[in-house]
Amino acid sequence: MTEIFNRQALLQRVEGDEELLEEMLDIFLEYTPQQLQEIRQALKSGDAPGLQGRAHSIKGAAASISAEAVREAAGQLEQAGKNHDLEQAGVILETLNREFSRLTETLGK
Amino acid sequence: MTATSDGVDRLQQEPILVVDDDPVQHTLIKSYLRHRQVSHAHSPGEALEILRRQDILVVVMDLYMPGMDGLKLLRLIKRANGIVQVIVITASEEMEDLLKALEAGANDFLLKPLDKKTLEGALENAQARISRWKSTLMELFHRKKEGLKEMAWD
Repeated sequence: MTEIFNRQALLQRVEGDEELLEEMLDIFLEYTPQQLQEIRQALKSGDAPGLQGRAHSIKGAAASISAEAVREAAGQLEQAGKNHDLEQAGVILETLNREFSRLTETLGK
Repeated sequence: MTATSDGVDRLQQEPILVVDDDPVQHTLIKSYLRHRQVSHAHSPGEALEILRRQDILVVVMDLYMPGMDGLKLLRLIKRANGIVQVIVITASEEMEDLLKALEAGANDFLLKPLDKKTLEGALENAQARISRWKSTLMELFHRKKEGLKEMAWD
């Protein structure tokens, strides 16, 4: 199973700055639910490029905070959007939601 | 004068525009570049507005943003001023995106997650190209001036 969060990698990226690390995590946790909501709407309206774009944004941000499992699920969702496979996207979105909840729990936020 | 660790005089460092829809990325870059003059845009539209108002020659930008294709923004920036150094940063894993960005005029291409050393290296290269460009312009200017003087004496 992919690691949910690699604190060490993020700490290295922010050069040991714990305050910056927490700030980045808080921003990610605040910003992602809105993105997930937009993905749900895109899925409902059959907007594959919209879904792809939002999934890509989550993937990039998750990579920046070393949230590996979220990054991986968002990457798969982006690919499903690119392939216009909305049925598959629906399944992956559930995984992404689950991984985001796991991340929130892991971080104790 | 304040010398930085990379030997480039801080006063000569160009201001930078960062364009990304991801607030996490802005926070990270802001911290990496806290000693430099950095403007932040969260959309291509905002980026174009800032570039219209300010004299900025270094742009660090994401390739995928809602509202406008990053490649389109890249072309618009380059068309407006070809010397602007554009460093593309993306979470894309597609080789095709890299090639398209280079064709559209990107000067450098970095992958997310970003680290400080890589960003600083890219900025240093951008700074060197701008400095070269400026000194070439000065040289041309002097040659023209000398040429005019000679014509006046003839």
